[in-house]
Amino acid sequence: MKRLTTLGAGMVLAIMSSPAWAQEPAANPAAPPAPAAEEVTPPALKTRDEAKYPKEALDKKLEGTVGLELVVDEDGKVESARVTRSAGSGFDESALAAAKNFLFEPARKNGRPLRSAVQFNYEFHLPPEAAAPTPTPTPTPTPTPTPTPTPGEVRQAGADQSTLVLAQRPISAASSFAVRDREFQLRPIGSVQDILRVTPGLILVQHSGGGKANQYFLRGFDADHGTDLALSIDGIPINMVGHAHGQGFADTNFIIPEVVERVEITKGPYFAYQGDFATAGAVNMVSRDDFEHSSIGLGVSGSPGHGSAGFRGLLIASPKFESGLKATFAAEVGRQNGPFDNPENWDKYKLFNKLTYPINPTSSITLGEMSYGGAWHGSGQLPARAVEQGTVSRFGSIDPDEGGYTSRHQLFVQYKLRPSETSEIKALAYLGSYRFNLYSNFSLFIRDPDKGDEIEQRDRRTFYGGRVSYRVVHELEKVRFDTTMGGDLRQDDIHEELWNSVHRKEVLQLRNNNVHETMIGAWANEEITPVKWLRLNAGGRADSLSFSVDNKLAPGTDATAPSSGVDSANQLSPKTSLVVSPLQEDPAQVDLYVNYGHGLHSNDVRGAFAKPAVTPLTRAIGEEIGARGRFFDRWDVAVAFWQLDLASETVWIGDQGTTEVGGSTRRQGIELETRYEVTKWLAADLDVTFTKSEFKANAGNGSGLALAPKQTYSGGLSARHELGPGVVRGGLRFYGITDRPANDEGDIIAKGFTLFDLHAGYRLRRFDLAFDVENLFNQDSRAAQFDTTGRLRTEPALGAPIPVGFNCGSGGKLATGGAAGSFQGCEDVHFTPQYPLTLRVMATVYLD
Amino acid sequence: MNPHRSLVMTLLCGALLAAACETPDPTKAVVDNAYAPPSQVVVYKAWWAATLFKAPVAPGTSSDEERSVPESDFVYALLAPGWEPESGSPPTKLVAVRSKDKVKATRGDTLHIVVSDGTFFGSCDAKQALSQEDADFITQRIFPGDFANMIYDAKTCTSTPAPDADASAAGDADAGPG
Repeated sequence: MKRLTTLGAGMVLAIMSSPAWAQEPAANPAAPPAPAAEEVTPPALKTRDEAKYPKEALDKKLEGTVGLELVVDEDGKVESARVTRSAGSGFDESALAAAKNFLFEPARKNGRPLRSAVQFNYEFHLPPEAAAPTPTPTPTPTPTPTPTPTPGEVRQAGADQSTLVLAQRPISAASSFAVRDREFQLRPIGSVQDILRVTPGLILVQHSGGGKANQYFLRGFDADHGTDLALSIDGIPINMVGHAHGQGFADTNFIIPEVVERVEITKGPYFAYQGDFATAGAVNMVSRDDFEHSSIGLGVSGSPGHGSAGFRGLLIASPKFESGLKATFAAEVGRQNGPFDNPENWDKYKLFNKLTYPINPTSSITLGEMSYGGAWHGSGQLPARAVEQGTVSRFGSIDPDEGGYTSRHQLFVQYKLRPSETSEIKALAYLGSYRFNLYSNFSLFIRDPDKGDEIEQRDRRTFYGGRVSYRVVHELEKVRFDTTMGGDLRQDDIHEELWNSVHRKEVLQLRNNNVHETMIGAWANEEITPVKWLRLNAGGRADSLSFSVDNKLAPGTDATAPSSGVDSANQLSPKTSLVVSPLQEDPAQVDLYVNYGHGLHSNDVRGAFAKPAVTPLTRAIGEEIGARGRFFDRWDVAVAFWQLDLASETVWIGDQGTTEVGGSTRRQGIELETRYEVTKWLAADLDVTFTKSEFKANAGNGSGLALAPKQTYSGGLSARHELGPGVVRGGLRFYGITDRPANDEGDIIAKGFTLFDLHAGYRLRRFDLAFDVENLFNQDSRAAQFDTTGRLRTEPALGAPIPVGFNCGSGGKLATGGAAGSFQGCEDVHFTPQYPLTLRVMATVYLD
Repeated sequence: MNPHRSLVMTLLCGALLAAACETPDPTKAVVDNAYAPPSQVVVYKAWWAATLFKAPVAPGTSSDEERSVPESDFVYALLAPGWEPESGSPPTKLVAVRSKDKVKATRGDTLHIVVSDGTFFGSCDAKQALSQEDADFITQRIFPGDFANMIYDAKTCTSTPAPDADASAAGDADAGPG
């Protein structure tokens, strides 16, 4: 008789003493570990073979989970293996073949090796519904430093993420793929923003402290808080339409980074299932169903010589159920102060709860909840001239009242059903509430030279929606058809206000709107594979935006305020792709891609009732030619040439409550991406992008487009290797952006930067210690940067004669307008500083 | 987990938590009006580094604490002799003053800015008149809204209407950002 003890997600472990099955318990997850005298350690995977994704399953786009039971001998070799749960379609054979070559650190009792039996699920996953093109056995585009498991680390022995077969996930364009947590575990991860940095070509910088959405740079966009980058988690949109601070505001701070299992990245408007904001790209984070271990973590961070330390506590509970129910409950609390003279005092809490229940072998349902609350003080965007003149330090503040508070709570339900071997239905419904108060002072002392130009932006909303998709694969005369279709709906009921404020007290209301916005989309995609080396994709989506705006300001208060009204807008977006795979076998596998598609981003619908009025939807048209290859089973390389036209650069200026109408633009670029597996434990990667961005019509400024990134780069080394009784891991990474124009004229420059980060970690059985160094060389550089007309308190009053010898610093210039020779403010780069050298230590104890 | 490891982890976590919780408060600043009664000098407004004290401070009282930043800088203030804040009418006379020395606060401090003839230049009654250049800096840059279309004479501590109000344009509190 065996006594089984659950030790990991989907894994059951039995320890046995030779030669017969014994009844020794392994470890009781609910109880403290056994005393040393009775200590039993489970087997731990040391080396493994990657299972091949079965061609049959790949062709039919099938996923599967194989239940295996392995008997591991005292030397750690797999003595025998058998399938306990068949998945068919070649999955069983593939999983068995790989598992038989696994090598374990044997189970031990009181240090003595034992024979043991290991049961786990070997999961084979296709990409998400993005999976348009054909499943050639394309290897992973991500670096794959072989995850040499920690001896005694149960996670590595069970249904570890590293046993998921992702390498063969097909991709639909040269610029899209998915990255799993195994990759970002080798990077400094202090927040979700650090996870998003795995996206090649995506540069993120903090913006006025940690409590606010980041600044995203991608494909020639300075996507101010997310306007042209669609972010989501588990398919639930993060971007906020009609946000009080800016359209598409995408604050990811509500996500606990540890719950992110993988990141799905696409670039360009070529994917039928993607709608609003997915013009430059889209990033969907997929959360874990469960964890191998429950754990407690505690971290501390700080910048020596600057500011004060912060801390972060994390509790993850992931109980195991024999019914197959997967559960995760995670809670994070913390305080972050940053390097600022004005301590950020960013107090926050986050919750993540998720239950996944397998109704039957072909269907499952997931219930989830996420919560976040935070309050912080920001240090604002500092005028470069003020720092240059010594008026304020890089980490100083000109208005210490900046900052704000926010909360986000959301519930969701997911349902998956496989009606047949070749079809799948997915459904998602979500409901959320959101609150946001932001106090900012951008122009400092222009509007009010006495009390300052502080403003308050308020956003209160309820958002809800859902999406459903159906996918079926069928063959006709040896031609394979992969049909996907679906629809999505999103509703936002918003109340937003804009105030002039002093010391966080409202003084004058400038905007007061109730906005109701409904976006409905329907999409379909047909992938045809007439021959193995050729794939054709044709599809499209239809989007309809209906909205109403209610102006609650007293009549005549402000002529520039948007009026009330009801309207709608629609767009059809065709998409097509062609994929040719001239080489499909080792040592060289190459796919060539041609993509064309239309996409859209919505504008703040208040602008539709302002003067000048804006179009509610902006069309984007993208074209791309690319190639991706894998050579000698260790070198991935990809190149993409792309172009993206936007019908307009029209944006809602949330800080002023007005509309800025821009012309149509074109962005063109080249992206290079390579990863090389130097050894089984060491990998290197490099991503470089070159982009040209301009207005199509030259307005006498050389068609310059403010803040558009020209070149970005990132790369590094990642390693994971056994060291002593545990496993050491590390990564040295860099990322950067070159100088770019801060204004359309190009005479104000937003300076570039190159930063280096270091990560080191050590895992010893139930303990993990992670050590990060951000900005390793302590570079004095600027993060978010804007061309802003402002006035320091000590500068001449608005309209006063400009004193002889007065200037706006080395990078700024006198603002124009008003009477000749009168001061109208300084136009200069206002920036938030990059964090200086920052240390972060995180200790984690695994509880079961 | 064996007892030794538990102890090590407990100590480690405790040390981290202790280090992390040692987060100082923000810098704050307070204006103390040292013109004690029966003096009738109200501190009408004050500015130090990044902090505005916009509420009048009666003689012998202190302002509310305002969040500020570590800095070393002069304090600029406007005095309103003989004015009663509760009167509802604006002060008829404002005197521009500046601290005799730079005032410094370090992180986490609550800085007390003591306003008196002993700590500030600018009071004509105390025969500590500012230079006209310093007075212009206060009236035209630090508090331009309070001296709009006025000329302030540092020697007499009096304000008179500018000969050409349109041209003087010493700043307008309602001016747009351009």
